[in-house]
Amino acid sequence: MPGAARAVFSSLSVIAVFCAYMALLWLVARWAEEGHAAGKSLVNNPYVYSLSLAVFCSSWTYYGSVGTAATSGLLFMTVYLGPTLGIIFWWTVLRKLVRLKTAHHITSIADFISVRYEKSASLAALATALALVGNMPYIALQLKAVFTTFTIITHEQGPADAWIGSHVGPIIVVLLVVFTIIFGVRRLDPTERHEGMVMAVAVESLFKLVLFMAAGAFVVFSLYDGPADILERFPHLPPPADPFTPGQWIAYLILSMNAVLFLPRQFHIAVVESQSERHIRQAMWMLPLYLLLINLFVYPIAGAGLLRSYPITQADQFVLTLPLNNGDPWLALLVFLGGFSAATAMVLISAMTMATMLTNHLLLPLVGWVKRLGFLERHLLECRWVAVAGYIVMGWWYEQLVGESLMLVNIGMIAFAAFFQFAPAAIGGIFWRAGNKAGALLGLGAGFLVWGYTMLLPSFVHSGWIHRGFLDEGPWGITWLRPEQLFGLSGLDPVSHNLFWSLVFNLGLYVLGSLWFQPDPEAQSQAEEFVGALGSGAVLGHASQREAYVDLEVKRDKIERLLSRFFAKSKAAVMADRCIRAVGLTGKTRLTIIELAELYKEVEKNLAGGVGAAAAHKALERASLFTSREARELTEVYGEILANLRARPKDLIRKIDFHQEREALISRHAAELEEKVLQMQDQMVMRMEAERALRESEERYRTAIESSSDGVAMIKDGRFIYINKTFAEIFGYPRRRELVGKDLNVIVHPQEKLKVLELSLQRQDGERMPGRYDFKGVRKDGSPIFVAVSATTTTFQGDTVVLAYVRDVTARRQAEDDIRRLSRRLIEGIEDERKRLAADLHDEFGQALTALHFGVEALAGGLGPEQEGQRRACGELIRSIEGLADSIRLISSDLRPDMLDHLGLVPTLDWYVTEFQRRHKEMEVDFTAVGFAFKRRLDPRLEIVLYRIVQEALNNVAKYSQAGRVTVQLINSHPRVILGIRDDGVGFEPAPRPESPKLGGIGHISMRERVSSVGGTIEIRSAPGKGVSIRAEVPMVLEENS
Amino acid sequence: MKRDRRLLSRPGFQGFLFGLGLVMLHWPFLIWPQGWRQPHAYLYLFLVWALLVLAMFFISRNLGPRLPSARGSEPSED
Repeated sequence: MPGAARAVFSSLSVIAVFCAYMALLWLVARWAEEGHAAGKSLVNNPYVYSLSLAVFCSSWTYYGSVGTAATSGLLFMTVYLGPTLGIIFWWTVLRKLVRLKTAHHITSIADFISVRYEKSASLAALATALALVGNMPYIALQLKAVFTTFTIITHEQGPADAWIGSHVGPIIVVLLVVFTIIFGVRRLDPTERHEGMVMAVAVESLFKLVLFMAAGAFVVFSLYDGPADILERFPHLPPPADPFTPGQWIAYLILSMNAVLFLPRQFHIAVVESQSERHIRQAMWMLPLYLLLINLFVYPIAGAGLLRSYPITQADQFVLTLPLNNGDPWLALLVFLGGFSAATAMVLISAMTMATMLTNHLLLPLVGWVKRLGFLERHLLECRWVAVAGYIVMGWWYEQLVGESLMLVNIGMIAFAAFFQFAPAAIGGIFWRAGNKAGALLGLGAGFLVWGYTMLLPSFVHSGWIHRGFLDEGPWGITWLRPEQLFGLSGLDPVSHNLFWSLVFNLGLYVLGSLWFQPDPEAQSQAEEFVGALGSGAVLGHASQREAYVDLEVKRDKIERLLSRFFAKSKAAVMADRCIRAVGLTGKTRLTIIELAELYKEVEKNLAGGVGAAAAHKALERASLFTSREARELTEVYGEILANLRARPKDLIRKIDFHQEREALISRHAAELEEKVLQMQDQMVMRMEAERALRESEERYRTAIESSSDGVAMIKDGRFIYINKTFAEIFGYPRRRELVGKDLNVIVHPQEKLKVLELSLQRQDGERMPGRYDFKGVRKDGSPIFVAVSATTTTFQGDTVVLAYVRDVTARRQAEDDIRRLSRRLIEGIEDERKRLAADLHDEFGQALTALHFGVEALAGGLGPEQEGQRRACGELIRSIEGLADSIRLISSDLRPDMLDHLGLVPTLDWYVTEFQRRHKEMEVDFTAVGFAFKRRLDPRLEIVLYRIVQEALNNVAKYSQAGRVTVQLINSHPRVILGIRDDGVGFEPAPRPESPKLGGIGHISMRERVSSVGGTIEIRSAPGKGVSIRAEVPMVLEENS
Repeated sequence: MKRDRRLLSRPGFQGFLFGLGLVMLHWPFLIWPQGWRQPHAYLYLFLVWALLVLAMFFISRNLGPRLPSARGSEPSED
């Protein structure tokens, strides 16, 4: 038989797979809850919010849409097109609901209706009853889908599978109860927010979307050649078995539009779990997009099933049977999981929401009436568990009753029609100020009855539970009471028929009842608040001029006692303290009556979060928190306010709402602004201080730079980027801008360009360079200039630049040159004089003494023997003359050795050292000359300088050194001549500056001047006990014409 | 651009879009009581649907969080 599924998985393995899947979801939920506990909400974003709203797509969407498409064509689209149209108004409608939820701690749709209409417990109970009965078909729908698909995908392989197969209903029901309790009703939460569950639902939404689209893609692209191929075959299909009418199309659109917001689970996700109004904006397009995507393949899948002649009665399962029968059982298993995911998400949220509503709006009022049930207040959580179980079991019962007789879409529409009954009271409650409790009770009650009569009872008839005659002939044969043709209205399908009578009775009675019965001022105030929710918020007075006489401790005890009726004692104490803190009463012992009223409202708000607004209101009323005196004074306060303002209560409340909201808003903005201003002030002060310090520093630096007697320049990449005035003046530029931007070379003498540029670039690149050096520059007029440069690198506007301090040293250089020239002249003069004196001594005195020597010898030769005394006297005289001649020769040599002029420096030094050794036998003196084998002699000026240095050095050695050994070395190291003299004497403390006369001595100064006069350098090193080392280097200059 | 933004964020425009969407989604039935042939209607309805989603995307981008006015005006619906 076509479409008969070939199951391949054992029941046990499928149960194991979806237990594993739920475990995975549980981990996701835990992750979200832990994030929330750690202060980082993973759910507080528009994507999770939008995906969680897709819980709208239950197994009805997953399976039922295909079934509808197969039987009624495009009618399935209305269930999603309606929400798409309705969502257009969400920015107004849903935002109002979210704002009211925040203000009143609303926990469910029943709670919302109750709060709006005088916190009516009866209205809440009625809404809860409607939701309970209305949801029953919806739960049945999910269970039917799961049971049916489970049967399709599994087969029995053993006794265990056989047992599971025969107990699939109870097993799945138990699993769903357990999962619902674990995910959503694990503990009591006054906010009724469940981040873990919302995250799990969002993940489920994504999961089912992906898998449904995967199934669609499989059908379109694997079983057929794409969308065009399959659509082209559609005209060959027989016309829809159950074609829809335009009226049906409109009715479905309207019911779906309502359902996306007022189904209890949708209300819970969209309103109660909402964390930010901003998320609504994204949800406004993301949810419709989700709906579009999940429906994209519905029609092709339905067509494919029909084209393959699958039975139309099994159209709900086409999405599963197509992959299963066409060779892809694993895809079928995943598709089954997607459907299971869609069903469980719906059941989880619905059961949790209904459990809250049942306990808050049915059980607690019942406990209030029946005192014996008072103990249940302490077991609210356990009561909710029972409610979850009861609710799911009730859905299962309904499934067993009607599941076989109706398709998924028909069951779903029964639920949609039920929840449409909320629409007049809910929509009217936020847009119509005159809507009141009486109208809501009448409308909702009538709507409930109409729905039950025209939708629920016929479903029992179709299941065979009620006799068919009830439907065809009416009760007791009264035809105009026929449920599907009420008052003779025929020609409409059941859904349109119900919608029509719902609008007539529900909407009509809501309007009439609201207009007929006048609400009290408190109800009017509440209506104002709800209608103006986007413009105002919950308020409390701030009058504080009254006497503070109410004992806070007493009131706190009362509040704690009240709360402990519903919560554990420790939690009640914490909640009581939180309420006191929330209204700013911490630390006070006495309260004014206004403060007490604020505390009362805070307690009511907190309690409403746990037990619903109506129950909380009743509980507080019964707790008698106000004494008679306090109640009287509160009345007086309100009376005074009204009298002073000369306003009606309605106007007053509106104004108070507006002004207090405005004040709160302004205060909040002001506080934020104040904080920001303070932060900015601090930042500004710090910045100003820093800027001032920087400015002062800059100013000081600029002044120092500008007024510096040295030229200052910044150079980047070889170009000036800044110069001071002095710098420009040094180089003869009247205006600074003539140099800024120019190349460094413009101020460097051509001989030194390469040297200066290299130094500048290497320094800029961070290489270690001498910090100070001189160079020869050129002024603007071309005249040369000597400058001393001190340079370093710095950062300017983020770049590394060279900062150079320049001083004009031309005068100093000229003075040095002059001194050097004069010194040379002086030395030359001295040498000339010595030379002349030596020559004179040699020539004049030598000749005279020679003549005298010969004369005295002749005189002595002429004396006789008797003149022995005279002869001896002449002999004495001749010896004196010879001694005098020796002395004169020595002095002459000292002044200017003849040898130097005639034989040159090396023989002269050799002779001089030998003579010195002869005179000072206590020390050993060595002389070595290296590299002087050539014939050309050194320049005479150079020779005399080197000779004098040796002479002066050896004189010092003889006088002071107490040396045992002296070495003299003369080395020709072209192009320089190096003279070294070293002794091993006592040495001396080196001078701090080489030119210091005190330590260096006159002899050293003389040496320096002599060396300097020929352009050489001299280095004298010594230390106590280390002897003296003298090293002179002079440029080698050879004698001309030698 | 500023005018576009103002237009998209006005409740009136949202009402207009709702009305337009409603008419467009009924068009196959308005012009022919039995509706168009199904494949054509299917493509047409999805096209309209996609356009509605696109329009809502642009609307949502231009909706600002409107807190109660602090500039002195009376509370009002937006």
